[in-house]
Amino acid sequence: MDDQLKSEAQESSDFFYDGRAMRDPVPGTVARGELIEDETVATGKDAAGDYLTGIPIEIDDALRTRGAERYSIYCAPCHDRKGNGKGVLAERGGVPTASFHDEVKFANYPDGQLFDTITNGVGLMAGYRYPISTTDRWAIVAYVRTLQQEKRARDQALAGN
Amino acid sequence: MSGKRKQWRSLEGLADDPRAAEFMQREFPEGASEAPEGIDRRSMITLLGASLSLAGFAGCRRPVEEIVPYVTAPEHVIPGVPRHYATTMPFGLDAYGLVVESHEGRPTKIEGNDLHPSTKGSSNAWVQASILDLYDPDRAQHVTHGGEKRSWDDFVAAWTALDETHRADGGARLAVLTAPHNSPTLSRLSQAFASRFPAARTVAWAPLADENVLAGVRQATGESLVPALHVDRAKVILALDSDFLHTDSQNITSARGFADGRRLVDGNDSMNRLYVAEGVHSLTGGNADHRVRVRSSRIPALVAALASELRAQGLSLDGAGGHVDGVDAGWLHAVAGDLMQHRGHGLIVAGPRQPAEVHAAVLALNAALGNVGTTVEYRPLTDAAPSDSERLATLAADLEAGSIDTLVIVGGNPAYDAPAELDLAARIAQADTVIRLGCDLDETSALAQWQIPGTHYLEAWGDARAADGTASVIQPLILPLYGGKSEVELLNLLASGADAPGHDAVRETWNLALGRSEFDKRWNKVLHDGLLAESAQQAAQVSLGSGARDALGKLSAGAAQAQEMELVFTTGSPYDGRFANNGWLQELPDAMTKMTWDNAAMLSPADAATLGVANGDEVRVSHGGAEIALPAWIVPGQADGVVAVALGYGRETGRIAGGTGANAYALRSGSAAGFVAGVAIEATGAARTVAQTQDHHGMEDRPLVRNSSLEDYRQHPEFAKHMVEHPPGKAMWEEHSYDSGNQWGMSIDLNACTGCGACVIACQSENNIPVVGPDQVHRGREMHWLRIDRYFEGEPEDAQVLVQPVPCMHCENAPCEQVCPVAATVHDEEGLNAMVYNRCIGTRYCSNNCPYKVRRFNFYNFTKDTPESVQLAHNPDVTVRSRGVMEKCTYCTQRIQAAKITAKLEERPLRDGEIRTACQQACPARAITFGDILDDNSEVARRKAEPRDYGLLEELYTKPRTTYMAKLRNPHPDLADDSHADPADH
Repeated sequence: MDDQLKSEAQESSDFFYDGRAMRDPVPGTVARGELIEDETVATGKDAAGDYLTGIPIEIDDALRTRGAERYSIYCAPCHDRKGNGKGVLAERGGVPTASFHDEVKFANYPDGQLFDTITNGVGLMAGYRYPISTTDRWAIVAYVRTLQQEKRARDQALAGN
Repeated sequence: MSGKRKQWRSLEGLADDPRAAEFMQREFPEGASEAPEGIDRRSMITLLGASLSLAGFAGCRRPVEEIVPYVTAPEHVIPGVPRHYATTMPFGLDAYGLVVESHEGRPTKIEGNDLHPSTKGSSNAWVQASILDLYDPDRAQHVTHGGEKRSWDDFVAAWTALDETHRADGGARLAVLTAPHNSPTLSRLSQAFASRFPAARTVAWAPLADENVLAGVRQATGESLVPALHVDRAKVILALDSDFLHTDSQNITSARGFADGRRLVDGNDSMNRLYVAEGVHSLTGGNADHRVRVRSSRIPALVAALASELRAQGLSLDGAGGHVDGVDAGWLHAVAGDLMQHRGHGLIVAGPRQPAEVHAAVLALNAALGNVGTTVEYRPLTDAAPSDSERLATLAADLEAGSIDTLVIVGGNPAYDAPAELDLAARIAQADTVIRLGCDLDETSALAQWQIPGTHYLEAWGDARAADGTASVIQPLILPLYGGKSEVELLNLLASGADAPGHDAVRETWNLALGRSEFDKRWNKVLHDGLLAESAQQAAQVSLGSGARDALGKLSAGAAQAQEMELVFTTGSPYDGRFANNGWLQELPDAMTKMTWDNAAMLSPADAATLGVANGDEVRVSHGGAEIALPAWIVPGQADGVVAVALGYGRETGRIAGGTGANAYALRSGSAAGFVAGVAIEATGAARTVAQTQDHHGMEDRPLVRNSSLEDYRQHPEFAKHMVEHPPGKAMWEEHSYDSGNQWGMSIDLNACTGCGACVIACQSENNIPVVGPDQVHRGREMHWLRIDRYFEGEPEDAQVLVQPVPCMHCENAPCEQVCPVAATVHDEEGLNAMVYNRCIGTRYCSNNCPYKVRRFNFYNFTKDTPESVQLAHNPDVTVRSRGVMEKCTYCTQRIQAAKITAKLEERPLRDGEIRTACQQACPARAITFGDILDDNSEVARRKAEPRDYGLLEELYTKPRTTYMAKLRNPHPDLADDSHADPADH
């Protein structure tokens, strides 16, 4: 019973031509609990295809906390815990990583574009649509906004001194 | 009361036959524990030595396992976390709404769709087992022409040429034969086909398709309407030769409604009452409060007599009345009185094997009693192609006359199951070109030039309407395993000449229904739910024509009594034969006979005595120049003068179906498709081995299924607890308290359970239970973790039936645990009696010590030869057991763990009802409840607090966690207690 006659996750199978026991979902199907009620929430774009400037779901404290948690799992390794782009991978691996506090570029991304970047990736960054659920991605966007506000407030406080 | 009557499982057991006694006394019959047959001890040791030395070469290295991840990971898919899709299983004119579990894109388990009116979240054995057909290695795998491999494109090219030829004369020499369907897309494509080929013939036909029911309704109302039963609203039900709880159409909702009408929980103490008149002994008959044995051919007379009786009791009713022999006048009087008393809340239902006149008359009676509109509704058939035997006969004649050049056969298996007198296999061969789309390589494929592999409903797009008209979508779970083409795709090619994906054709149909604006959004909602909300048809206003009156007249005219032997065709596990290659269904013991892997000539005890045959003796049944030989089987309670044979056996192809049982279609004609009189039956003198389980896993002569009458229950609610007197139990050691955390328990309501067997197949599917084959079943080695015991009570001639599902009891003082020398079976802190497979050394002491006989032993590596494709059907969350290991019900521990993980991730406590075992989820009657017994508000705790609650063999002080709620019958006061002593048929 060490190796059983069943196909577990990520196992191979001689039955399929490509040797994978894992199959792709059939295009066009909708699984239970995965109905996209609102296309803008799922893509971060409005009907005209422009990025949303706000977060289309309600963000409460619980979701913000969850965003912080997801951020520290999925984003912090590269972008670091404050969003400066100096995570462990950036520092030791020399991977060029964006800072969310770059006033020229990223700080001015609309919410929808941040969401789209998490979803589909950009440049060297992979898309995270598969490990992070839609709601959690919006929660991360909200948390990134919090980080930016904190940074600005800190900068202003420091400048005021 | 009846609970004190002796309960027996088999006639052998009742007669203290030594063969039955052996099964009772020994855990396994003589020889079952010995080494493989034909090998003595000495050669066994030699072989062992040889295989050990060989194992030295082969077994010194672990098999290399590779990790094969997704290259591009699809959204939402987390390896190891199953997802669920709504889809639909088309079944004749009905459709079952389902939710299917998918592990990384492979469907592994089927459940009912709780949003869908046809299943309401549950299922039946056929639905559960249909997933195995998807992975059947015997499926058609290639497009072939004359036996040679071709491609689909080759076929499209060939059809394009044929298309041109046939369009020249409007398709006059073209015919399409399909199975009946009720699908918006297929209906749209059929219309398109008809306009492309106006002269072509299209015929829909299937052997079991309620043709008589629809014809009867048409006769009475002049319209094409389909009945929908609301058994839950009925207080009195009269079933005439009908198995509406088990094998008839809409059996899931009927079983649910019937159980709802008998659910005596939370203070409810009223119950419906079921009268059954039938010749065979169906499961519905087994659930009856009063059953009278009447041959199928005498049901028409019974209906006429009932009409007279109802009129005598004051019902205004058009049409003639009549008289029936062999049915006690008091019985008829009581039934009519009950129906009159519950006008508007009664229901008369006739079985599909009864002629159209009976259905017309029954409709008239229901209408006169005010039941139409409440307990039975009639809805128009839209988008449906119902079965039509007359057109099939015309097609056969046309084929014989040579006026058909091209015959397209879509689905079905007409060469095997068509009426015998048509000799359709020979007729099909007369067409120049036969094109066949079929999932299996069956009898019909053998006749086709072009064989195109069909798709299973889990791998293609489609749609279907349920019996109530609810539009449902068939959503694929996986791409076609063998490159098959769906019916939609083939019909689309025929109708438009263009080869297009089925997805497009289905979306096009739904575009019309949902509108083009915001179509995707609405369409995705339909896919998510599995159905279009509120698309059920409105019930039609039924107005009776003169047909109903004429039908009653005809019935009374045909009341003459036949004395000759009558053959009745019944429906068994393989249904019409479509599931014959399904190992799970072949091994599912028949609900009444407990036979597996075979059909038999079922006889009444008296007829068997006249013929001089015992169980298993071969008999030859002949009629109209054809004959079949099959083992005799004595069914207590069957009417005399009736021999019953299940359809769907005796297939020629398939590694499981081939050669299993005898083909009763050989004796079945189009004009007498339900039953036929004047058959000859004789013993051949040969004896057959029948793999049946009725004496397996016996529990001695004790009141196991505690039962009484409703009246008795009202007087003594705790009758079940008092049925066995025993001194207070005391354990031999310090008992564990089990007073914290979750403590799992199960309650099974015997008053709701009909004994259909859906739970057995659900368990098999969920828990990777192997199929062992007839030889092993005969030796008592079937592996089902959950079995359904069927007991008889009373005299063999007119026995009453009791059923009891028996899973592991998860005893708190488990006898199995005390005798295991290696602690392979132990209790966990949540009260589960767990089995540690890797510790098990196979002593089988545990099984010996289990009073309930719920443990199963792997005598062989039953899964070793599982084909690669069937391995894909295995549940990855459950161990596939190897040889030498004991196994048993785990309360679906993998589902408990999954729910716990979900609850923990969501940072909340487990909710009651969140964990549903496979058997519980499948049960159409909602007889099984599972949950935390420490939570006073949980459903299982409330059920266990019911007065009817009792533990099986609780006098042994095993403290079972699975308990039962005693069964009640609701006899009519005038017929109470001696109903089974009614005069017999003769």
